[in-house]
Amino acid sequence: MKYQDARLRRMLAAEYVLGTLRGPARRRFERLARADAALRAEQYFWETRLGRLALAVKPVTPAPTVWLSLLRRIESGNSVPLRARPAEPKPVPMRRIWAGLAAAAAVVVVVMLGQRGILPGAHETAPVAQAPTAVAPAAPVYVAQLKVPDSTMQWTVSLSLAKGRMTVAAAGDYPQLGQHSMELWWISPQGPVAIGLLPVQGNGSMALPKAMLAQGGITLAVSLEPQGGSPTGKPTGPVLTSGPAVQAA
Amino acid sequence: MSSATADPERLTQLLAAIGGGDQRAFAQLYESCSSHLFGLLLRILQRRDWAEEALQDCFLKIWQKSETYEPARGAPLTWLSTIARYRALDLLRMKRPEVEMPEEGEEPPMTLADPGQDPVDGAIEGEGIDKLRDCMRGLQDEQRRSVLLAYYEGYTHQELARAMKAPLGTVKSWVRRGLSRLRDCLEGVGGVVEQE
Repeated sequence: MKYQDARLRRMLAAEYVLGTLRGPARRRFERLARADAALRAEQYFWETRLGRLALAVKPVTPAPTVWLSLLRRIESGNSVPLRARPAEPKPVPMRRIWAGLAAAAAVVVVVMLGQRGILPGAHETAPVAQAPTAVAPAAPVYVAQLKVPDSTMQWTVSLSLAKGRMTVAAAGDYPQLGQHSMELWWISPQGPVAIGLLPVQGNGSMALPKAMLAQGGITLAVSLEPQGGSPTGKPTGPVLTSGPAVQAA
Repeated sequence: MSSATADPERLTQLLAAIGGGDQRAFAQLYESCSSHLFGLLLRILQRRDWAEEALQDCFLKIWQKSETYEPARGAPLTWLSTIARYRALDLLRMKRPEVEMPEEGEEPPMTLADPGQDPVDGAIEGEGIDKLRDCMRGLQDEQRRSVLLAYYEGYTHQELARAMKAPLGTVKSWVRRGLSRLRDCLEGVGGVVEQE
């Protein structure tokens, strides 16, 4: 059998890691390596060495929607599409997922509030207005810019928790909308809470959910829904965009 | 680069916590590593939508299989890069036939730290003398180019042959000789003398 030739085994491991071993041969290697420690060692030799090359690539921050879609995939149990991998289901309660999302959102907020390198969870130290002339922020206003990737559609959102209202200004265009609506959600620690349907053009104003608070930052998300909004009260369509609302005053 | 957040010890702890189902650790790992992995995936896949899909696949796998991490597979970020790359290679195999050229209107993916810079040089910044670089330099030009193209572009032998305008058999032997020499050198057999 070919896999007994030591030189060939080494070369197969090297080409597997490099990626030039493709197709059925690649699957075959994976199968054999699972039961063959020496072959695995050879594979790991190359993974640790060639892996250095990966560090030369410039990092690119993925859009926030990627993280949201990832959570949705975990949540729906639609896990690892890699073929023939017996999934070990690790069910996660919905609230833990959203708690994680809120934690991640808090990180984003902190990063956006000036590069101070504050750790997540330290939101109470978030800088307010530094200028001594600032008007006393009795009722803080939070603003968010929500942009739908790969389109010109965007909204500028401004909300006042004290007044319980928000205003929205739409700009751009989302040609793929068709017979759908775009719904705005507040990502609360307990999960998404509907705020309302977003205007596609012009300005709008809507009431905020009564329970809405700024603890740990405010994360907003926009989902694509059937015309008139989600029939279930929870997002049913894809998340188009999401982002934090940051304190403006 | 992402130095403090990608600290291997911290990432190892996060992976262990994720193995126990810790969602917060998962969010932190994503926060620390996603841009690195996404950069790598964009580089190989050259399309944002594919790279996003692969990034999700990759993190799903980490969520389910973080306990399979073992230090023998390198530092955590190396292991995560390996997972990402393998996923990208699978995706390429399924999808590349339909696209030979980047789609019109799509910005050319220039994701290397510096396009003019040798990628291997970039890999060793801040890590002191690196054997991989020395050993790469010890390869013949064609060997070295074919190994790097296969690594960064995810090229098959056929694609390499096309890119390098050489017969398939020739390209295969460049890759094999290159890897074989690289291995000897990395192990210190007749190559650069290791200095500890």
